[in-house]
Amino acid sequence: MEFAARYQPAGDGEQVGGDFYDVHPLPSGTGGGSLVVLGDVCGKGMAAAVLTGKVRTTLQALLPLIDDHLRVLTMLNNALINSHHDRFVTLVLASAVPVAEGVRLSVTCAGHPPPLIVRRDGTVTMAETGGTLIGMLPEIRATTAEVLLAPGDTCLLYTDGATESHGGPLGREMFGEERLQRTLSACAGMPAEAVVEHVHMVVSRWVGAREHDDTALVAVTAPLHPRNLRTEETRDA
Amino acid sequence: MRDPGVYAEQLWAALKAGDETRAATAVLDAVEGGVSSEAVLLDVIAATQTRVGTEWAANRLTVVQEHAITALNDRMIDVLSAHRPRCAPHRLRVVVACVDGEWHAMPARMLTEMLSQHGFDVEYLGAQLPTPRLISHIHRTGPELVALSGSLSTRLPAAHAAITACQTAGVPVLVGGAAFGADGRYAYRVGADLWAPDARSAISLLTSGTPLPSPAGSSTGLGHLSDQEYTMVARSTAGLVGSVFAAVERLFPAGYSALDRERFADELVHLVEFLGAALYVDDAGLFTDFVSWTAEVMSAREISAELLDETVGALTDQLRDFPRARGFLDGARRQLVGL
Ligand code: B12
Repeated sequence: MEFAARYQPAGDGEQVGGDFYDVHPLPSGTGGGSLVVLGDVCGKGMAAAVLTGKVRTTLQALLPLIDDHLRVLTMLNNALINSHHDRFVTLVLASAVPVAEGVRLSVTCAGHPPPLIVRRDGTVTMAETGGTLIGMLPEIRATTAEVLLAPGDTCLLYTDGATESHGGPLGREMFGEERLQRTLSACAGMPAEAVVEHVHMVVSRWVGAREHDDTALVAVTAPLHPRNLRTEETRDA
Repeated sequence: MRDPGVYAEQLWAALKAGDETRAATAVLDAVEGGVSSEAVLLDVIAATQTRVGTEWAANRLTVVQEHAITALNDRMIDVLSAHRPRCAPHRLRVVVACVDGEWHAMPARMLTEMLSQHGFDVEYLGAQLPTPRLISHIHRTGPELVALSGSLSTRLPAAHAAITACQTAGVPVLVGGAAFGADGRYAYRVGADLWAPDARSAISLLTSGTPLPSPAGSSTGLGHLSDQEYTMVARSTAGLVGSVFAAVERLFPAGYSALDRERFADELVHLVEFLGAALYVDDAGLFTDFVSWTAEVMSAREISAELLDETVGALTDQLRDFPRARGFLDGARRQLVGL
């Protein structure tokens, strides 16, 4: 299984934005998988950076419980509510485990746009998950989607910096969900690195020299050609 | 030793199939077959990158395949690097970076590998690095030389800014890549201290024993910028694209989808950006080269030559009051007729 990610800071990169991502190994006993976290803390500046840090470390600490996404999100919600932040965060959790047929994904969104799945034939669908954002209400709900990525399929997690950017050749249109889906459709069957690079490039060209928001992208791919031993040795060398 | 071309063929077949294992096998076969590390890099791996360009132009590869092959070749440099003799750094400390806004990371990556094969103490900062971050990195680490790679001539104004900023920080700048022209003509226009046509010449230049120049910090011959043509064109890109689009829409091939129309508009942005770059360095050839290449690309996709000709014409109408721009546009149009 392959991962690739891109982070584009807002402005000239000097200011800390609220988008972030992490990839953690899943606790042993879960089949050698990984957890991808991607999120968006509302606002910018110091207060947002502090909250981002808190969300990331709390999730890392909760990794042993990650089998149950809703439970982890509930505990994170409690932690944020109790620390009286007046900000909230939207999140996606994706547990990815390599299996014989490809990659098994459990995906849970909390107030965040659902990840997109591009199949090898170019079909693009949205993961069927949804839930409340974190850090606002005492109770949250969220549903988890179970997705199997076959070889050549990719799941793309993204923040709304990608879809809500304004620009285009004529300068005033919003990039939008549909254009992202079309862009992704062209990436069918490609390695994760090529998918994030292409999406990042298309979005950046859309924004052009205009002011852009920060954007995070993570692709999880079931490769068409799994690496064999000789290549693995090479990578470790 | 077998001809590197044989391994380049083997690598190409694997890259097209998207098969990393077979690609790595081609690279390791070349190493084991006695091809030097330098030749594996430049005559096997780089040769396939060049082929990506011709295959894309001929409409036999998609843009996404370009990204995918480049991403695989990036890993092939890791494979090569892990299997070549180590060489302790004993030469200059060099920072390799791409011009701000540049998408072509591979040329800089290759130069980095070449420098490190030859014992330079080199650090690679990759693409998509804003110039202010490059400058704060230089202040922090104090390299003896900045090697700046650019592939897109449209980024020459950004290259100029980066070069000036590095020189102000006291570090001389070596530039290279397709952006600066095959003969390096634009390199000196934007104030570079040194230029090399390819990685092998860069190594000869830096190991020749001549001391590095002190950072010059002034570009030669950008006086023409005072006519404001570059600034005006760069500022009104969206407006120009909109007007030209409206003027040539009627020539779109039947069955042109919404996506095709959008791509065309994006190509118009490139066209205006290349005109802007030509105005910046005051070189008609920069624009003509891009237009000729575009004509080739369009003809491989069976789009009528009339569309490009009318497009350049419509842009000329918009820029009637800009004599330098008009001169470049007329020149490009004459060239198109000659094709
Ligand atoms: C792969 C590729 C892409 C990929 C890049 C992926 C990636 N992650 O890198 C993608 C798909 C993104 C791409 C996009 C585009 N590309 Co492109 N691309 C290429 C291609 C085919 C290969 C680049 C490469 O890897 N070369 C391999 C290296 C080894 O070759 P090199 O550049 O010659 O480098 C050598 C020397 O120049 C030197 N060198 C390089 N850097 C430095 C630095 C220093 C300091 C020194 C001393 C030497 C040095 O050393 C190297 C080794 O000898 C080239 C064509 C080509 N033949 O190179 C076009 C090319 C660079 N692209 C080009 C263009 C126009 C584009 C697009 C604008 C096309 C479009 N209409 O959309 C877009 C731009 C992106 C955007 N949308 O804004 C043009 C640039 C023309 C120009 N001078 O401005 C080229 C030259 C194609 C052409 N016209 O012939 N492209």
